Amino acid sequence: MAGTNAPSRKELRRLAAELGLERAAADHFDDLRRAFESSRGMVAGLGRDLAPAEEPAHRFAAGKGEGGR
Amino acid sequence: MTDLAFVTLAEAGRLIRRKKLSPVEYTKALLARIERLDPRINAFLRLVPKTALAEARAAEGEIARGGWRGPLHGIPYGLKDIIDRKGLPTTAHSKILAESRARADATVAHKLRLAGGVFMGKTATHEFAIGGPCFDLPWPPARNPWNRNHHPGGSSSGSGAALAAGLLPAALGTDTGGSVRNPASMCALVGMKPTYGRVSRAGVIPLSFTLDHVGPMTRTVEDNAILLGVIAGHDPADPTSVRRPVADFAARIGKGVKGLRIGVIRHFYTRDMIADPEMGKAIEDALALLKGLGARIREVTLSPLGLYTSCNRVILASEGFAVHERWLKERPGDYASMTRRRLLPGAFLRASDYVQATRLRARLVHEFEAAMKDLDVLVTASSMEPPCRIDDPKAIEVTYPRQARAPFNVLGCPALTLPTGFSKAGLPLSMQIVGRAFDEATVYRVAHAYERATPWKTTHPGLD
Repeated sequence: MAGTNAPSRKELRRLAAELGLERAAADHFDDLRRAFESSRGMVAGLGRDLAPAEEPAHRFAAGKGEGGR
Repeated sequence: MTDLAFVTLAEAGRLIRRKKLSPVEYTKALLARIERLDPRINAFLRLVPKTALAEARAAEGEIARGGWRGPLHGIPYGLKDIIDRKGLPTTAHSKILAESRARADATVAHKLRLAGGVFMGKTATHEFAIGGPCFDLPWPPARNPWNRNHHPGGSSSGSGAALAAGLLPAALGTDTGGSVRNPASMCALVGMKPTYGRVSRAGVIPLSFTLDHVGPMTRTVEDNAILLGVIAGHDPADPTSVRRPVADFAARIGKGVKGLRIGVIRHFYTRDMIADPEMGKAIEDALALLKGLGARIREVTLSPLGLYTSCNRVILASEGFAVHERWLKERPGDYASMTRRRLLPGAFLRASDYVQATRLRARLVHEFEAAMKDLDVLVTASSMEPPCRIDDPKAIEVTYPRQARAPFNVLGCPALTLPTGFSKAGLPLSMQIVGRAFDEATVYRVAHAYERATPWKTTHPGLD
């Protein structure tokens, strides 16, 4: 889901159904849509810095441009 | 004659100990004030006058027999209504739990009971400690005593409003992204988010397991230190509770700041977010005052505020959705709209988003610890502006994220908000003081030095 474009109304309803949120989608669709947009903003805010190799306890040698050191 | 509405907890405690103030008369005076003023403030969801008077009488009798328990004995207090008190509903200000009934005290409620405090009632909150000031719930939202058309901050809104209005001298709040410190900022109070693990959360409705804290709210720094001393300590019922000795937090607050090293995270409120000019100037004036008192001030640069905030939001939304998933699926219509919008984002976050946020969190903790190596405390903004109107949902949405409190939930370190004056419109201004993990004592020391040199704690809203 991360990085996807804004889904259509139909897609968001399908996604909500997969998550078991049919009632929220049926009765509070606008809240659901705003929540989806909000979640995308949250993830985007985490930034670019979490490269695969960049775990302090497990630093490993990856190729150039793959977060290796 | 002592003004019982605004007497400090510390002073009332001293008077009660010397039998110059009757806990019963004190409780009656506050109950009368609540009856007169709270219909305009909505600070309380549930008042328990019979219980309060019974506890006040018990305290008075025990003290008369020489059984003084400590500085909270005979002192009225309130609990945010996500904290269990045996036999009473813990509603979380929500339809969903309106019929609930607590089977036992939360650990913090039990500690206050053992300390001989006088329980006055449950205070309003934003729904489940995450919604905003909502008008589509069974109870109205609390209002700001400094101007009733304005928001008192949240989510510990009723605790904040009750303290500012002189309805209580002490209350507990909870803080996941700033919810003790926000009402402290908005209502000219002192609010402490202690170190993670310092105060038990057992018996408190969770919002985000790794970000939730219980904290003391008062009108003065000394009162806050006293109240933290009562509620702090290891609790086997909370697996995140830490086994560390509880200091007398009030013992060293009068030592002043001469020689203390204070870092300023100025970029949080001048670059990452631009604070309202009056808020920013009040912080700069406070720093100049602390420098004049002998503190050494230098600027500190951390990661941008937005990175800390995003880390907090992803963790909070993920963990909050896990708490509320069943109700959001089965009873979404029983939440206020604003609460639904704040809880539902967690449905759309992936496990990897959560893990990335926790990885980022570890890095931010490392960054903070490095910055604190040669510093005693940090100073930064709490809120970026004074409280907005309570009936303006757009302003509420805009100002909700404009704060610098969430970083310290991510970091788990102690952070305290205190008043720095008032805007031209008469609304509270504030700043935040942050310490090393488990060093609440130094935070209180700096806050007390500032408070002692300024007149803000003796300024109260005109409600009578």
